[in-house]
Amino acid sequence: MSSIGMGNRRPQAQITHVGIYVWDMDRMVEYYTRMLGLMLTDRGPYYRGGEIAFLSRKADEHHQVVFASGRPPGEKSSINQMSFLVENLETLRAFYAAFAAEGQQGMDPINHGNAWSLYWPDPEGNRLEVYTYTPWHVQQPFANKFDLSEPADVILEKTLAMIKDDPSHCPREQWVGGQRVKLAQ
Amino acid sequence: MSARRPPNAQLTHLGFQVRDMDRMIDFYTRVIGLVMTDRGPYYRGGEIVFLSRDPSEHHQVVLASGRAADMGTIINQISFLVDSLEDLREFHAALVTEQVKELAPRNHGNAWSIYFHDPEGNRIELYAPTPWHVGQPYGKPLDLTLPAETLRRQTLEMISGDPGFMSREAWEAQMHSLIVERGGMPA
Repeated sequence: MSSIGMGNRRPQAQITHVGIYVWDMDRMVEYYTRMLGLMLTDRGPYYRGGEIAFLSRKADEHHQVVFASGRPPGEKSSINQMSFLVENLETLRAFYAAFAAEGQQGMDPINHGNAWSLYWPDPEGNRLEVYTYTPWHVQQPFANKFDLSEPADVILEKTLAMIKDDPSHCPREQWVGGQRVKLAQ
Repeated sequence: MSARRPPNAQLTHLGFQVRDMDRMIDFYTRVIGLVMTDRGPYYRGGEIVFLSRDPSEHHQVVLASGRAADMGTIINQISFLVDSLEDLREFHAALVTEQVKELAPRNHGNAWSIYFHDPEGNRIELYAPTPWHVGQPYGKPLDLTLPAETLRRQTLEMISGDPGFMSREAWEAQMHSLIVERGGMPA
């Protein structure tokens, strides 16, 4: 039985960082600092064995991404997505253009109606996402391919056309307001 | 892209593959306090579930079906910030009652942490920052049944002689300068 709305919700707990096991520490640190602008804050022996590296690009967080050595050889990634919010659609388009210029393989832009996303695999097959919000909400899951090389105003127009007949579609502010009420219960 | 740091991009959510969807939803809503925002068929196959407890984020945790019985997890930690050491102690008591596996509180000097496994062996961390910083990695045992005031005093005694010891404010100012110096846009 969920405690939602029963006045006994757990104390606040917000996700702030994620750690994964890696095969090639140097390669992963280089890739995440170069592609996502993270900074190596500390690196050293791990009390659970092997080596650990901490990365962040937020001044008040020591780490947002953690790499620990010792991913078993041949072990598949259980990560479905590790996701980073960017400023706006123009920024997302800049990421897409920069990655394309680098020859990044496996890029998969998806229009979720409530967010524009770019998915791609890191060098060890973990699925990464950079995304930004659209001005709207629409019930999820919702996913269509789209073209991030098109101008931002064209993407915006096409997105509204795509979701405007969905009965769950509403302005983002309205949806956020509703969430605030639900979470306060 | 090597000439300057890429535009700002901040980690906001994580999705991973699960075996028993209903059991995992129950755990993350009831024990961690997340709310299910949507659930449905996944365009990449199987089912997808979205969980959040931030009104401006549709999802902070995503559960995707399709983890095979013989498939391991490469997750080292999924970490949630709590508001205070008092809240962390409340979570600890609840986790003991829940009989979670691998329950391991840890004192990192810059944070008090509880590590434990979710029902499918993914390692979760709940943590509260201390008022101090100390070079990482740093990890010592932590007894969360002790009163919060005792823990604060013990922690300061433990780390005040460490060469990397400083106040949290001093460390944040240092981080801010470092990120700016390296061409970033600190959040």
